[in-house]
Formats: sequence, structure tokens, C-alpha cells
Amino acid sequence: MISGSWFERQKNIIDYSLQSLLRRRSKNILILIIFILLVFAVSSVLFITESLTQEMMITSNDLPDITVQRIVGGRQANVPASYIPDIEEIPGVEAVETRVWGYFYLASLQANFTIYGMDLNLLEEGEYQKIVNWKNVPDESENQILSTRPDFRMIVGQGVFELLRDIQMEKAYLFYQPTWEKPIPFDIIGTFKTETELQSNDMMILQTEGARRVLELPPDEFTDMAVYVPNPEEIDNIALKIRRYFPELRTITKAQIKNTYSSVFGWKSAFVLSSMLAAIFAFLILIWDKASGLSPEEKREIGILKAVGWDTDVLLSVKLWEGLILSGVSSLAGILLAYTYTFQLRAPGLREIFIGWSAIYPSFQLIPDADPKSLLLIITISVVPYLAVTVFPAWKAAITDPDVVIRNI
Amino acid sequence: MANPVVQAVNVTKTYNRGKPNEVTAVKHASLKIDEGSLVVLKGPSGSGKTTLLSLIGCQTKPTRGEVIIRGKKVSKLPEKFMNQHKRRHIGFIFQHFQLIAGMSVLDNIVLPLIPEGVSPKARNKRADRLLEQFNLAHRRQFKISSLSGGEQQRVAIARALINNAGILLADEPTAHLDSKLTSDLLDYIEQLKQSGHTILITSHDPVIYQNPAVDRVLEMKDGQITS
Repeated sequence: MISGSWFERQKNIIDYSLQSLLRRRSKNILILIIFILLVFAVSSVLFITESLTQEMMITSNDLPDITVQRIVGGRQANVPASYIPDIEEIPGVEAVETRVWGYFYLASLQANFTIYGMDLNLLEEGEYQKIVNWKNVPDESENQILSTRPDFRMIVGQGVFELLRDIQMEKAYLFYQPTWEKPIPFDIIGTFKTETELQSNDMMILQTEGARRVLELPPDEFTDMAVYVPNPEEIDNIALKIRRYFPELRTITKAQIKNTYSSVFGWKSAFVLSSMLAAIFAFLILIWDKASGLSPEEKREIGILKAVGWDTDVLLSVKLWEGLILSGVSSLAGILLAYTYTFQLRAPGLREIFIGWSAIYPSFQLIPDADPKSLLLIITISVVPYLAVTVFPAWKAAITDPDVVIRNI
Repeated sequence: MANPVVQAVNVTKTYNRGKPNEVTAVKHASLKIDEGSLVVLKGPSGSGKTTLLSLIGCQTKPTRGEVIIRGKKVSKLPEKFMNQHKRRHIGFIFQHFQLIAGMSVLDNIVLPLIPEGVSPKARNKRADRLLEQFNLAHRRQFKISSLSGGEQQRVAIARALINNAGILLADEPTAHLDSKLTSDLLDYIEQLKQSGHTILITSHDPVIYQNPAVDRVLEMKDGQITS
């Protein structure tokens, strides 16, 4: 009797496992398809959750340490400038900035957009220069910025720009409300190229004075205030002081916003997964049924292999390899399909559930982001249970005397 | 005195012990088979022939007693070592051939070599020799399900011989064969005996146990060897 090396033995076992999978190809193809669908569904939800959370987290890094709003009659009201010196005097506060922003419904596009007021001259030399794509605007260049009317200029998100281009307003847009005497024209001097498209896509940055006109905000009043605190340990304490000194003011810290982003998408992810629970459960039962129940033919095969001298551990290795190949291939295929669906095709069907207001929300690209921990989790919850349900019945058959299996005693 | 290569010492086999369907198939059976001899175990159905053959072929362990193959008490060995001894010393031809229907002739024949780690090239070389010997070369890649009974019988013999084992056990080898195929089988068995194999056959077919090549006939009744 010639005996080969351990390596040759393992190679033989893997070869046999592959042959065995191919011999039962109709059953295994069915399991493969169901398995891929399951992994695809779960992975897609996890990918979109992570991507959206990631995008929000990137955005939240630029948030002020404390956002201060004024609440009157249970709703947000304008903040008078008189609060600024009092808040600046609180020990630990480095700066207080006022913000002008709001929402504007563009009837011609049937969409709601975010308007933000800022000094666009800052864009020329400041850090914001990098995030504006001037080339997207035909016939505009960096040198021409100052040549446009200073108070009526704006920079728009890529999604807004594309919508405006569709109505031939990519160079200038006329803001109008029925209560106004005449429209207010704004020149478009650039588009955002920031990676945080989820935030910037529907945004219009207007010169502050122009934004005040569009939002009908009186002089010396602001939408809210941004408070900057250099010491992170003091943020909560300063927010508490602001609320105590000015009970009509509401404070929102950066940490609270991050938690909200995280929980919003986490909740939506759980909701979608729960909705799919019945389907996942049905698929799992089908897989269990197909994978775990050894057919009389399979039991007989195990008996024959034992009868010709195969050891229990070799038989288990065969079943382990079969399970690993099938579940591994399915998991990888499911993950790759989910990755393509989420990041290349932009998750049609699922995206709307997560974003919610898709009908008025311009398109955006999801940031490809796959957390290795999530991938490991997906593989663990798919491969390990499958191996258990396939190997255990094989082990039960393999520890039975071949005599009993073959003679059916 | 010739050297016994197979010994059963006072073996008893009880199935389903402690259960209502408990049955003792072999009771205190003892035998010795010398190297190179052809022995037939005959007896009516249910007499315990197949169980005794299974015990000697390491397909199951005795409830009591010992089975000794080439000097090693295999019935006392852990499964892994018993299987290794079985692979290296025993070839078994089962009553219903016990071939895997979805696999090719070649793949069935080489099955005992896979756990030994024999490379595909070496396996195929040995299988091809046997395929030639048993006139099955033209059926090499055929599925078992497409073969005739006689061809399946020859595949089963080839599989039993692939590991060059010196001991060949055959359980009712003519049970499903016509007279022509039985005659062919006897020719193969005689050839194997002449090449030095030790052969133990269970059969109640007179064509087998009355064959002049048979050295000894043992009779079983109610689980015991009576002569």
C-alpha cells in the first residue's frame, strides 16, 4: 500500500469535496442561490447603513461644538444679535458665530432646498476654496468671481446644479415668492465637490445679504448661533449654562448630533432587517432543510466510504470542505453583489427607505465604505451556522458502523 | 503448519443491545484461516455469515471475543488504527456491490486510496491496470448506474483489490449473477488464489462451495459455526 503525504491527502479530500458538490449540483445550486440572496440582502442593508453613517460623521466633524437655537411657542424662532455678547462672556467659550440659513421651496423644480448664508469672499483664499469646483460652471473662472454682483452670488450642490441645468438655469437662478414684488436673481459661481454629498447635494450657499433677502430675515437677527469651545470636557457644562441663563435657548452639542445620525440609520437598518425577517427566516428554514437532512443516498455513501476504510475525521473533513466551499462562495458572491448594488447602482429601492424624502431629494453617490468587522460578522453568521447544520448530521452518520448503514440494520 | 492470517476467537455480535429488538447474530464463533487459502462460509439466510464476515472485515466490532488480522487484534484497536489496518490488509466485496451510483467506474475503484493520500496519477495508474484485468477499460468513465450487473460486480472486485490487500472477503458474490457471470467470477477468484490472496467467501451457492479450488467449507447455523 502506497501512502502519500499529509498535503496530498488534504488535496484528495478537497478534490473529493468538489466532486461531491458537483454530483449533487441541482440541490447545491438551489442552496447557493438562496444563500447568495440572503447574504446580499443583509450586506446591502449593512453597507448602506455604514455608508450613510460614515457620510454623516464626516459632515459632523465640521459642526460647531454647540449649536444654539431660540425656541418660542415650541418652535424655532430667529435669534437676536443681543445674545452674542452674553454667551461670549461665559468662561470657556472661544467664539460665537451667527448663522443664516433656512429652507426654500423651488416651485419650478418641485423640490425643497437648503439655503445657507455666508461671506463668499472667504472662498477666494480660505480653506473653502478647495471644496468648490469652479470648472463645473460654464464660462466662469476663479478670476471672474469678484466681477459678479457681490450680494447675489451663490454656490450650489452638484445635485442642485444638475437640476438647474435641466431648466437652463445653470448660470443664474431667479428666486421668487408670490408675495414678492419681483424675483431676486442670483449668479451661480460654482458647485461643491465635497465628498459629503449627502449634506451638500441639496444645498445653496448664498452671499449672506442675499440669503437674508431670500429667507426674509430681518437685520440683526439670525437663524441660530454656533458656539466654539476649545476644551471638549467643558462643552456639556457650557451648554448647560447657556440653557440656565437663557431658558428660551436650546443647545445641541456635536456629540448629540453624532449620536442622532448614528441612531437614525441604525434604527432604519434594524427596521429594514426586521421587515425582511420573515423572508430571512423562511430562507433559513429552506437552507436548513436542504443542507442538514442527509438523504438516504448520502447516508449510504457515507456508509460505503467507511466500509472501504475512510475514517470519521476524513469524512467530516469532506463535509467541512463542502460546507466551506458552498457557504464561502455564496457569502463572497452575496457581499460582492451587495457592494455593487449599493455603491455602483446606488441601492435602488433601499436608498429611498433610508433617505426617506427621495421625491424631493436630488441624487447623490454613496461613499464606498465596508467595515471589516461587518464583513467578518456577515461571514460568521452565514458560514458558521451552515457548517454546523451540514457537518453535524454527517458526523452522526459517520460514527455509525458501516455494517449498520450498508445492511440497514 | 501454515500461518493463520485471519482469526476469530470466540466472537459474539449482538445488535441493538438493551433494546426490544436486540438480536445476537453471531455466538461464540471461532475460526482460523491460513495464508493463501480459499475458505467458504456457508449456511442459510440469517445464520450469521454476513455478520461474521463483517467482523473479520472490520466493518463492525464484536460485542465479545477478538478478531486478529495478520497478528494484530483489530477488534481492540481505536477506529482510526482499525481502519488503517483494514485499508492495508483487507479487500471487501459486498453483497450488493455498494458502489456509488453517481460516480464513474474509475472514481469508485480508487475510493480506498483517497484517505491514504495517494496522488491522482498513482491512483489512476493502479486502477487502469485493474480495469484492463477485469475487461472494464472501455467503461472507465461510465457512471455506475449505466453498467450491467456483471460489470458492477467486476468494479466491486477491482475496488477490493486496488489497495493490494492480501486478504479478500466476499459476501454472497454470486447472489445477483447468472451462471455465465458466476463462472467468470470463479475464474477471477481462482486467479486471485493463485496469486497468493487469502480468500473468505460467504455463500449458500453450491457452485461456490463445491468448487475444487475451495480449501475449506465452514457451516454456520443460528450464529454458530457448526462444522
